[in-house]
Amino acid sequence: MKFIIDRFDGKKNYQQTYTVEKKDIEALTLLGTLLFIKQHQDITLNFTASCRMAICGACGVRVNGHSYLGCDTKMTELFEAYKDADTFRISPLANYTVISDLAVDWEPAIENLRKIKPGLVAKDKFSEKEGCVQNQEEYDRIVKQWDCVLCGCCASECNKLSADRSDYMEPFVYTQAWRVANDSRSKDPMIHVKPAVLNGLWNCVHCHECSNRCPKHISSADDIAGLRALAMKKGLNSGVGPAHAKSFYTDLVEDSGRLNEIRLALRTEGVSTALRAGTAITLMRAGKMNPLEIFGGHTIEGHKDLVKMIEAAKAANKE
Amino acid sequence: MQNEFAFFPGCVLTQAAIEAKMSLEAIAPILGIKLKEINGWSCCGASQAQDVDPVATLVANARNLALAEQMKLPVLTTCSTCLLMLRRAKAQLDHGEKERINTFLAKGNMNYKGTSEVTSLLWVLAQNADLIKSKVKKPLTGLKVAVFYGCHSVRPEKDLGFESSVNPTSFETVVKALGAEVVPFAKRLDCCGFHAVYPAEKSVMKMTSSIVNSAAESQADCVVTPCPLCQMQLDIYQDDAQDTTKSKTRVPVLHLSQLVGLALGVSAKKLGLDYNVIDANKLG
Amino acid sequence: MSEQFTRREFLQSACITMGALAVSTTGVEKAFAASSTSTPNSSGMPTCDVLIIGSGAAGLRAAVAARKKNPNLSVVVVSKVMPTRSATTMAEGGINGVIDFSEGDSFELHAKDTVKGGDFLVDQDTAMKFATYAGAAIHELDYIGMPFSRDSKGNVDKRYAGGASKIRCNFAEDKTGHILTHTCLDDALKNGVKFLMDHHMLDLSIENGHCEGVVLRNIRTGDIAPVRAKSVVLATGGYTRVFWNRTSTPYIATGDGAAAALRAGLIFKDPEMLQFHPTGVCHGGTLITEAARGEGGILLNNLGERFMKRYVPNKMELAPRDIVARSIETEIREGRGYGHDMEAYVLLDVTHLGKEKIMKNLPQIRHIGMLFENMDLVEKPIAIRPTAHYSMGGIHVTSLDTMATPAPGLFAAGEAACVSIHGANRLGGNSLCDATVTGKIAGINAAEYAAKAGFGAGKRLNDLTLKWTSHFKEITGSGKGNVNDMYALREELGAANWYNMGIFRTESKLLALADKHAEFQARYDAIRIPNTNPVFNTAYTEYVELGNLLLASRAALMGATARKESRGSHFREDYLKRDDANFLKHSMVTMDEKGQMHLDWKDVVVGQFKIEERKY
Repeated sequence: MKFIIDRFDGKKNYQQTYTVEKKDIEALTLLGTLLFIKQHQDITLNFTASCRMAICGACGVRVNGHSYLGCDTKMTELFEAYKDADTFRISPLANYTVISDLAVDWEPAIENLRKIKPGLVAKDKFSEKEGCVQNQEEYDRIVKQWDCVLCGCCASECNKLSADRSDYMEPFVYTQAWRVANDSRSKDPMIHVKPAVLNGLWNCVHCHECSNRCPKHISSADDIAGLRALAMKKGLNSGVGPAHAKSFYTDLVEDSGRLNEIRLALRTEGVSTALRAGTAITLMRAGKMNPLEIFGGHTIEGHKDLVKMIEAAKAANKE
Repeated sequence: MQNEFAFFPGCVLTQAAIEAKMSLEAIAPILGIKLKEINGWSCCGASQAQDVDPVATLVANARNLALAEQMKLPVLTTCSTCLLMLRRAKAQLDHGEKERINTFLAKGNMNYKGTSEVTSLLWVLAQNADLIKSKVKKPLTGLKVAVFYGCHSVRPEKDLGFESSVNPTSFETVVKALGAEVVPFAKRLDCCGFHAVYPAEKSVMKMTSSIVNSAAESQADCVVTPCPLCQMQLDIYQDDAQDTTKSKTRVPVLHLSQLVGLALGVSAKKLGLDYNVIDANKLG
Repeated sequence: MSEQFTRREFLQSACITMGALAVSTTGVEKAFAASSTSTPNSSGMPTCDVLIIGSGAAGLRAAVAARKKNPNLSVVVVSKVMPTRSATTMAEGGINGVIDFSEGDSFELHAKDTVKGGDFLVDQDTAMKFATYAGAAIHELDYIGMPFSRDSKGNVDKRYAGGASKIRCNFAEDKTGHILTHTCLDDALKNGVKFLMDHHMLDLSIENGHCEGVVLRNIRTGDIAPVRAKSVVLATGGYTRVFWNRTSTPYIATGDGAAAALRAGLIFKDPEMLQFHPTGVCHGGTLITEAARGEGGILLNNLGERFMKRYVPNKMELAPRDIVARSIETEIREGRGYGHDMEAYVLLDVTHLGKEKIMKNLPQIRHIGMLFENMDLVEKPIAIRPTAHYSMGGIHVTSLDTMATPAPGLFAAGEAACVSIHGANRLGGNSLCDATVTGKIAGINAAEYAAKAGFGAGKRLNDLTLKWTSHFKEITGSGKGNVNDMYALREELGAANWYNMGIFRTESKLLALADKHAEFQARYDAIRIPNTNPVFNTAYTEYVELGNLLLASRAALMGATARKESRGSHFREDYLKRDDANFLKHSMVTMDEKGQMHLDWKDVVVGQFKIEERKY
């Protein structure tokens, strides 16, 4: 079988095909296969690896355009996912600058991490001398996000980063902001939430590649949502993003129970785009929307009950 | 074959993507699929409402599912985001949240049991490819189709789970059953950007444009997607997106139900091809 | 006004644009300057006040401590990888440190256990201080954000660790090391520590007895350049990769610091003291944690016997690590194992625990079984064999008070250092607190030193740089050489060390190994790497690492041969007893300019703990 590897020697990009007997690699991991190729066929092939047990995060690569942690991926899994394909394409993680072959530059990602101030600033009642107190429930709340190994699998497939890295950060950066902001020992979550908001929090495109590719099954998409909710709760709610999300919620709870698209646009963009209200007429002409829905629409059956249910949930949440 | 479903249209089908509803209602009887709209369904949260209140979103979807349970039918939706939201809610409810959320549903005398599964039009069609084949009246021979899955029909795999998210095949199976040719399409699993078109407009336009261009490079006659939100993004914003990247390329974007309708011999009018912004009438 | 709108525009405004943002991104801090260095010089390489080599827990704690001690100093952490790819992150069990005195535990008891666990090759004054600092370190880690598992009162939770008389192994699930590493990284970022990633320390320079800096190879570009620093902290980790495939440590644990220190004329202390963990995965040596036996896992030979009954019938599989490891090796040696040679193994069986319990309490090891042995240990026993786990020996440090080496300006910390806390055998849970405690002390003292010191002249540093520059050309320049030569040699070195200097050692095996080492060194010197590209030449990195492993192997062999006794991890079949009369002392290995190694001895510091037989 064949492995087509995307290579970069510091000056030029090229592809190289390695032919390997399936029996030599079928019991191995993806990292094992790369080591096999390097040590038996081509010593010039470069990639990074360290712990080989899925905890150090060094060996993330792409197979057929999807990121994998090399040491945590059995070749048999790949055979299964790609229907016993006899050719695989292996590439470096996307959305990172490639240094050589499958090795990428982590420096910008670390600097992004620095922006959200990942270190805990503990509440005043705690001290370096006596440590902190945290109950099991508070610990359980954040421990999943602590599984992040900085492998970059989420960032590699992030559609927003692929489109533009300048106004967004690697999904794991938001996850790490989430984990410290939601730590019961933290003095002020806004220390971390604010820089997250200032560095692209509302720009997530909801593609769910991050949560899908994480070898530790962490959902950065959910953490991004969590940070947004926290930001708004703490009053960081100006701008299109928060306005839009709130407007949505308003339709669900306070209005009809369904989205009113005209009102949504108005609420999201505010008075400055009130001009677009005129589009209601065009809308009716286009026949795409029910005119009744535009100006309030009909409320769904059982909406009062829905509101009662949500109010009950809210009340319980406050307790 | 399970042929009767509690239909969850989602907000978009009642309004801006009315052609998706028209075409669905046109093809369902031909395929022997009975859709009974869920009375009083509410918005699913559209992968947005959780930013304000995740519990309220879960409550709303628990209610939606409970309504379907009262009908004793599985839920079917065509919108991938609704699919994701409903399936996620179901997974959360079935894995620990049921009891807590039911105390809230009780305020409206409702109860979630977990008896209704949630599926999509794409999945039902893929499971019944042979049936579709037998109903094809006008095989789409020679039509080159770029299949665009859209994020929430495959990702996250743990919530959707119908097929591999890195190498899905359901859509190709359906399109091939219609007699069309599926072209290799590099961007078939990319994101159209719909959910961030306001906040990240520049990026989203770039994403939309690259999908359209990729389809054009594959010589596709049209892009087809199972998700009405992807369709809206790729269709309504196509001119803008192509303007930002200075591309003259335009490719019609069909709803899955429209493409199926064409092969089943349904008229362009009934399929709402008129409503597509990039001219799709030529395909009819 | 509707006429001014096209239908498309209308739809755009009307359709559900769910996303949203747009909180303005103005005021976003400008991206950090591309270079992490403080004051780049013309060569593109940094000079800095405190240079820390290694980014595991010891290196990161040293960096933070130095920054806190003196925020005016530039502090740079050099790492051949991304920080967090270190051995620290692989530690699972926990971190020792007494913080709960309610059940009679004390710093003294922790020190006593440490001394006894180390088979009395521990400097007792050091152990006492270490235990005190360890307790403080737990609270400090908690305060900087390490999420420990919690007890019912919300305090840091703790579990038993081998050889401990009290429960004092504080933990965060079964990934304490990983969580510690990331806590340290977060804290380093918070404190403005800068990183120089993908940089490999090739040598350090001692001139007129002072450390003046190091030679770094920028792996990304291949540039080899001198870096002057007022003080240097070596936190480069252990050297258990001398056993290559039979170690639990990462590929990068190649003793670069110890080897560089040797070349610079410094002392490599107790190099023969290498710890073996009884249950490594047969293929690749990754650890199956002790918890597998703690939960009730049993060890079986090829006759299906629970062979531990032959060795420690009252403790069975839960006897101390070194004893279980020796028992397994005895079974294999006497023909009751499976497979042959480096592939030989016995079985660890947890199937009787049932799927539910395995999934709940041992999910990690089940996963490891799947990854490395392609099997599900819910269904069948897993092949295991002892695996090298920790280097007690390391760069000689004069005192825990400073973590300074005898060369002014040079400090060492963590597994790279030997300040004689662990003696002949480290206790479970003591490595993470060693890294944390010694890293901090080294950082503080390196900062204090740097504040007073100036830069060295750098002549020797330049000479070394030239030497390494031509070395790269010599080794890779021809483009000739066989792909497999280096990797084959690395495997052979690992196997030879394992058989002759592994769990069972004898004079004849050790002497035979000396010949082997000479042969390996000759072969090594002749190897050429067929990759002329300076950019990210990982083969050359591996070549340098292999050279360091050879050096560490030779030093370990020298200590192992001379130490004619059995003590802790060092087990001599020809000298089965501990010999305190002759060997209650540290082996001190140095290397002269010609590459000749020399051995000296230094008495162990004995204090309040009575030297006695180590019995459990």
